[in-house]
Amino acid sequence: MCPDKETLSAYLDGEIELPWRERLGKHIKECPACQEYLDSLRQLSGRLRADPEPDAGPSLERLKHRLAARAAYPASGRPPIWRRRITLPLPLAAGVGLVILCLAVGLFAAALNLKSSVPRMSIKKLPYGATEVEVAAPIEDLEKLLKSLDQPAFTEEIIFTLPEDSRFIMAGEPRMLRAEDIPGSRSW
Amino acid sequence: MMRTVEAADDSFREVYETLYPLIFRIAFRITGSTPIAEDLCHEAFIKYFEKQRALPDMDQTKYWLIRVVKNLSFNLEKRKKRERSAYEKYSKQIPVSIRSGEEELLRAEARSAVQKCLNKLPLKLRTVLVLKEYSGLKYKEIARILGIREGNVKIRVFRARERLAVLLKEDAHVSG
Repeated sequence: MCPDKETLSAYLDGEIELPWRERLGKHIKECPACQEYLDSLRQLSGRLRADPEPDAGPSLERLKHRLAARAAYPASGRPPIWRRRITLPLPLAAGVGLVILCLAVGLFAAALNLKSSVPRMSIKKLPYGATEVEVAAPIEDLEKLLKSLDQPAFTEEIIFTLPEDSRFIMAGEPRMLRAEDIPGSRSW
Repeated sequence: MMRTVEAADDSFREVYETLYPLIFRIAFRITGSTPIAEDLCHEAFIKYFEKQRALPDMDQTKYWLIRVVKNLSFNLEKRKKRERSAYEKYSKQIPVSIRSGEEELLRAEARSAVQKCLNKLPLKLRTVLVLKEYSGLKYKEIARILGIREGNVKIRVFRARERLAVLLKEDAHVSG
């Protein structure tokens, strides 16, 4: 039985191991069909190797010139890390951008929250001589305060400790401001 | 530190004197163009020149250079495919008289029937056949260079031969 053509192709390349190589050789000698196919492969191989090709010499000379030039004027090596360019696949770049955006939003929200949760007080001198005292406190405290103000027997005592070095004259009536009237405090 | 021609003179000279003709031949047979083959070879040898460490022996260096040339030709083929499809779109809009000059230039490269038919083989088959026929490498070495199994090399060499024989027959029929 004849071997397949793939095996004959490998036989031509000397890629069949002993003892199969010997057995195949014997078969080919006795089989005109295999001989013919092997001859056609040999012819093809001969044609490929006989095909004229350009001389590598001039190209090698040009390479030597290029190398000599590079040796004389070597490139300054890799650029510093802050000037290096990197390439990222688009989905990865989009993902990184999204993560950075989320972090920025999270930090901003945390900062706002921190600001609104710290009680503060400001003292402003009004042009007509009065002094306005503003107290900003967390919303839970304010609600508690407003509720207690609504109680009929109101006995809440509020003590404001003012800075010792502030000089001001109390004039007019102290007043309670509504949360909505205080500018710049969103969570009120 | 980068090696200079003087510092690595002997070993590097030995590498390019020994291997350049073979690498150039492989590059020419894969690309079918002398200037492109030269570009790829120069790039490969410059890469080798700029490598920090020399490879252990001439065989390893040969495999490394062949692999670089193979990778460069695969990249080139991909780029050419993209450009060809863009060119085909564009060429529908230009008159034939302008196109003929460029086509003449492209045809001029592959004058031999053998090279013309080799160029028609898919790159995967062409590369394996070129390495077998023009570099004298064994299937095992080709498999190592290309990162495929030895059995695959055997199949690809066979298929490349079959297709090339058909292409040469067709070409002879058309030319004759």
